Amino acid sequence: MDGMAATKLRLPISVSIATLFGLIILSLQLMSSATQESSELSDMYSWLLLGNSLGSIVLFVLIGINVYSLTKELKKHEAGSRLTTRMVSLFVLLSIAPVAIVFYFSVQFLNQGIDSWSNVEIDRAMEDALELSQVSLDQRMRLHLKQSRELARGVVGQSQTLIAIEMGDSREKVGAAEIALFSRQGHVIASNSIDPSDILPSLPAENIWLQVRQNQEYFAFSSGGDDELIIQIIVPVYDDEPRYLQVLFPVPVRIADLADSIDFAFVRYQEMTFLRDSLKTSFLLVLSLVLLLSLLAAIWVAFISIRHIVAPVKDLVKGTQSVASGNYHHLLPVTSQDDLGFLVESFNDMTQRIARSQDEAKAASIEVEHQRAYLESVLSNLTAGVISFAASHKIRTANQATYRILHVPVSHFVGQTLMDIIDDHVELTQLLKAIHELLECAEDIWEQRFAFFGPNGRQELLCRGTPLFSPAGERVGAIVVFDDVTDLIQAQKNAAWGEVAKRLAHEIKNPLTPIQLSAERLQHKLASEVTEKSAKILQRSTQTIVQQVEAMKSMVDDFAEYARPIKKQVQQVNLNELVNEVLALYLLHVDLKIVTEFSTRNVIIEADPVSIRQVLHNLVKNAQEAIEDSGEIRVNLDKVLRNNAEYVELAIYDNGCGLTEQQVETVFEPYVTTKLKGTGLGLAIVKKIIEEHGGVIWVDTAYNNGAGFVIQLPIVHKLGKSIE
Amino acid sequence: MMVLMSFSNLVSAEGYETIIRKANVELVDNYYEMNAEFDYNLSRTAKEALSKGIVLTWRVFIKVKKEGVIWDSTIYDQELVFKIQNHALLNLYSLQKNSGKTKEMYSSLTSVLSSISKIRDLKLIKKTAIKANQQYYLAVKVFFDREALSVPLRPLSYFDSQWALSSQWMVWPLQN
Repeated sequence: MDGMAATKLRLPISVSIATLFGLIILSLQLMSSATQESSELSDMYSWLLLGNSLGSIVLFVLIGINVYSLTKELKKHEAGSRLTTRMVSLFVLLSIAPVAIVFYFSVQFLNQGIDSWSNVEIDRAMEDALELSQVSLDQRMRLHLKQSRELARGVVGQSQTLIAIEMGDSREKVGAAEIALFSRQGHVIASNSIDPSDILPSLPAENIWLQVRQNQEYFAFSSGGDDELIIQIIVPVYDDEPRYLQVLFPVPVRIADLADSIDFAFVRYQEMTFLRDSLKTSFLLVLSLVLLLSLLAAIWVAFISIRHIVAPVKDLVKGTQSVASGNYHHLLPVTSQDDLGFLVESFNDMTQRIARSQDEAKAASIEVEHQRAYLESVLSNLTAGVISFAASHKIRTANQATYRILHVPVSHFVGQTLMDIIDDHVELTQLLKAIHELLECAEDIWEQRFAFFGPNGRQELLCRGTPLFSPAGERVGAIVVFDDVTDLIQAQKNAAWGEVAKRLAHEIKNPLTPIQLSAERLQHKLASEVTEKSAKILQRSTQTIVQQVEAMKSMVDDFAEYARPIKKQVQQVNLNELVNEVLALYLLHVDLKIVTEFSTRNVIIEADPVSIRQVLHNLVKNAQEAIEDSGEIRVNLDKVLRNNAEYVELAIYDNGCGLTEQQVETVFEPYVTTKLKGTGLGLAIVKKIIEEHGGVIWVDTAYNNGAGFVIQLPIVHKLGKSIE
Repeated sequence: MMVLMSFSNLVSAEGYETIIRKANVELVDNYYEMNAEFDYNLSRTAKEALSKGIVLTWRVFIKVKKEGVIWDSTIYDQELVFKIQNHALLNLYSLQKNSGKTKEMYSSLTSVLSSISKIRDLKLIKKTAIKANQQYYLAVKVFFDREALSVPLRPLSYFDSQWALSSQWMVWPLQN
């Protein structure tokens, strides 16, 4: 709205230019009129000259500002500046040339015109006319002087009364307008005038009396009222007491007019002759001012007009630059309906179309980005590890599960090959080399199982790889997906062992009782019928059978026990207290040193306390046996985060002989033992109990000062907070 | 009786400036009356212009001012106009005073200049117009009116020292 208001308030440029030129023409016309002496404007001549000069200075300053501004724009290489400069220069050149020609010829014409006003003949004629008039008036003056002298002689010796009486006749006789007799001091003695109302005669001025006293006579022309020309004559009256007679003669009207006319013409002619150079200068000044003002106004208007014309071009250049820099929403104002306006409209139409296309492309790009982010999110949250490779087998992406499974931040190795990871993670050498070879060689989908030792012990991976091809059939990379199937395999093993146990219980334990009973019956029936020697043999044999059957029964029971699901009485258990209770039983041994380090207190887990106590007994007992009752057992209790869930980590370390690598691999499998009397089911049962409580157990392979077992169990939360 | 200070100003002439030679004010019949004398120095160009019929005009500005804190107030302001013209036919110089129609004729330039070089008994202000505790001063300037010249001469006269015929403002303190 403000912009609209501003547009409405702004005068159209054509009106502004017309007003400016109107003012200039008016001012110049006034000045032209003022050069005429008779014009009423002549009094304002100097002010008009000054006003026009100031106007020229203002225009000159405005042009200077425009030139300065244009120079700055040129230096900055602003849009449209070069076109404006070119157009203004062309206009100035085209304007100055005709103005200079007009000026030159006008000055020539003026000079010649003014010079032609006067010539020798006219000079002579004017001087002759003046001289003629002077001679004529001089003769009249001499005549009246003579008459006045005679009148003066006529009053010599007469009384004042007689003079006064005869003065009228004397005046009429010589045709004077006024006669007056003055004393030596200048006092009026007698007077007579043609006008009876004039009681007092015209009194001579001080300077006239001065001349009279010096020269005895005075005669001169003087002006009466109404531009009347009078001949004033004062002559002395030589009497006993000197007196002066003043006679005023009127110059006839016709002669006075003619004399005045000649006087006026001569003065005007002399004035023009005198002012010839000034006139030339004055006209030159006015002409220069007129041309300068017009030229400056034209140049200034040219600046404004050209800027107005160039403005759309400037906008177009700016718009193009804006489009080039990626701003497609920049619309240019359409200020005219001419060709440039059409061009601007077309430009706006083009940019709008580009903007629409750009918006659509942007929306599509955002959609693709969302899809990509979604896929990335899905990949990140997959439980399977996914690594994508470029054609050069360099890693492009790796999801979070990769780190969880391999315990290596593979995503940090983007842009490198798997072989580069080996340098920092030697434990993965075999695995990574195998995958790398498959990436290089495999032409189709492949699937393979790998095993490696991670920080949590042996891990089994199921890897699947797929080479990626472009639509043109070129190999552009590969994807490897892998799952940690350690638990799955372990579960399968456990299930297999359970089945074996069931079958053993069923197939082996059942025949044992009849075997035992039969052996005991043989002993009972035949002992009295055979010889003493044979009886002893029989007894030993039957005893052996019974013992072995018992042993087998016991073995089968243990195995059944291992295979049977644990009957859990789950309740909230304070693990700290439970551990302390179990350890208290072993503190009775003098040579045994048990060190506890609980970094957290009152850890509550949901578990069957009997089963957990069995786990603790098994592990502590193993440790005790490993150190042969003289050594140190260290029990640590700590809280850890695993998959964003809180776990309690219980670690039991001894400083015994430790486990070999082979033992570490199979230590949790049934019937694996390093002890002479053990059944080999203890750690298998421990593992089973822990897993049934949602936990994990592994051999801490990093601990090499003996054997170390680490258990992690989930912590129970109450009201969203862990209980400590 | 209140007598006003009278000063003789012998200002050194620079170029063709009119010199205000003397000005004094006397209290006559409860009126302050001014007498002044000027020296007109006509340049060669001015004399030539006069002889060619150009009218020369002088304006004598006479002011009595009261000193103020910020600006001075004028309590008397008088302007006398003298126009001199040469009449070639009669070989006389005419003097026209103020806006009067009558002209005084003089036979020589010296006599006409002499007649305008003296101001006698010009009544200024009444005695009662002057207050005892105020400072007053008389300011006089003889101004040659370039704008009364012929039109072609006007612009050039401002740039020609031959036409710099005006006097400076001359100031005399008016004391009780």
